Amino acid sequence: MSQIVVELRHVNKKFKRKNILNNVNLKIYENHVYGFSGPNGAGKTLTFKTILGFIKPNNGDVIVEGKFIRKEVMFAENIGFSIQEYGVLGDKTATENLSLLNILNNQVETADTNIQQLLSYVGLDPNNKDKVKHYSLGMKQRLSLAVALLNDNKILIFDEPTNALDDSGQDFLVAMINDLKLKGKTILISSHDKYFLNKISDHIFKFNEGTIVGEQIL
Amino acid sequence: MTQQHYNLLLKRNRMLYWEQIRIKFIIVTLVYVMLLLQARHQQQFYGVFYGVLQAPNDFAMPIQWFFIMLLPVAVIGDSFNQLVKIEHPLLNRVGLSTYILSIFQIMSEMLFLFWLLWILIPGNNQYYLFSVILFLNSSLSIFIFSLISLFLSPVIAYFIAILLAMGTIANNKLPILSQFMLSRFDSNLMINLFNTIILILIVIILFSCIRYIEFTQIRK
Repeated sequence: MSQIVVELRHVNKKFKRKNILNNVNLKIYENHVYGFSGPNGAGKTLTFKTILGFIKPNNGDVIVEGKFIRKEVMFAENIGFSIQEYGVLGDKTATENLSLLNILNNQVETADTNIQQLLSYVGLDPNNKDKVKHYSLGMKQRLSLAVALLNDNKILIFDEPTNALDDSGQDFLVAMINDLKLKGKTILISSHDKYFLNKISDHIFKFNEGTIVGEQIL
Repeated sequence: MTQQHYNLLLKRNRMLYWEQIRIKFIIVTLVYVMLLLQARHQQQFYGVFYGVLQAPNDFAMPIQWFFIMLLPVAVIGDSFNQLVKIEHPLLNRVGLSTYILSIFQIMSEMLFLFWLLWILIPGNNQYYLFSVILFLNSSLSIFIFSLISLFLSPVIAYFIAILLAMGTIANNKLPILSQFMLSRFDSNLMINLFNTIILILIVIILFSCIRYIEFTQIRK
């Protein structure tokens, strides 16, 4: 049996007196792919933010790799994530952005070749000198995936990664997630696209109105 | 964090901060320079910060002082909130306190520029103690405003700032804030030291609450 790497126990969150996460319980085992499905506002992104430590639950425990988030540590530091609203610097190139994030987060400089390999891995041209603000939505999405993969974290969160990706982009994403799973990563991924989630997930959590209303093991 | 990495963080946050405030900053600086030039023309070197000493049964509104005090607040607006709640998560291995301190440094640089303009344009070199205390305490007040805006909405933080400015105008002896008016300024060093310590304590108390921040801001 593989190890539990993320656990949510009776997590509740209220905003303006409204329950937006309601008694969420889940266990994430290492080296599995977990799909998070549900309509807008169902609580998928909020669950991700709670796991990362960006939201402090009113009640309940969030445990990542044995550490209580927002109790023992503020943030889950070893999770790579791609969440749309946390974007990179528009006035810099993709390479500059990744270098800057790497230097500041890890206090080390990574060889440019590693960053170029990472950009190639997500399907971006490492020699592209365009500023990110001139990128298409699909390219920005791919760059966001590269940011998530930057520190070679064991756990990865991808929030709606299929947004702005065309068919070939989605095929690429499926291949990438399968490859990451082979490399031992644990992946949490949300999408509106049930077909996509069915294709890549080992386990799907169905969210509605801030709570898990169903689970499906594939 | 090494000095080299901190400088890089500063450079990154300066760029983001500038993106957020540049239009407001240019407008506000122009208004500020115009007010200072007017003061220079009228040979009122103390000019814009003079304020008012209210007489019994009378109320005078020092419009210039009111606007000058709120100008930095108007420039900062929601930018601190955005810089912390939207731009910090990708750097979540950089300590939140270090990150916020870097933004405080950037805001102080902006206030220093305003302060320098006030010294240079009207040729203001007679009110040395007042100007230093004003720079120090207004910087601390701006930090307080910024930290409050993390927990309440920036609109409420604005409202509090306006209320405090109005309260200062109405009350000749409002602790700490009355010292922001040259007309009421008490040069007693102990009083000024005490005021600064109180402001620093408020900053420290608010700073200790940053662990409760929720990163739920929407990118503008």
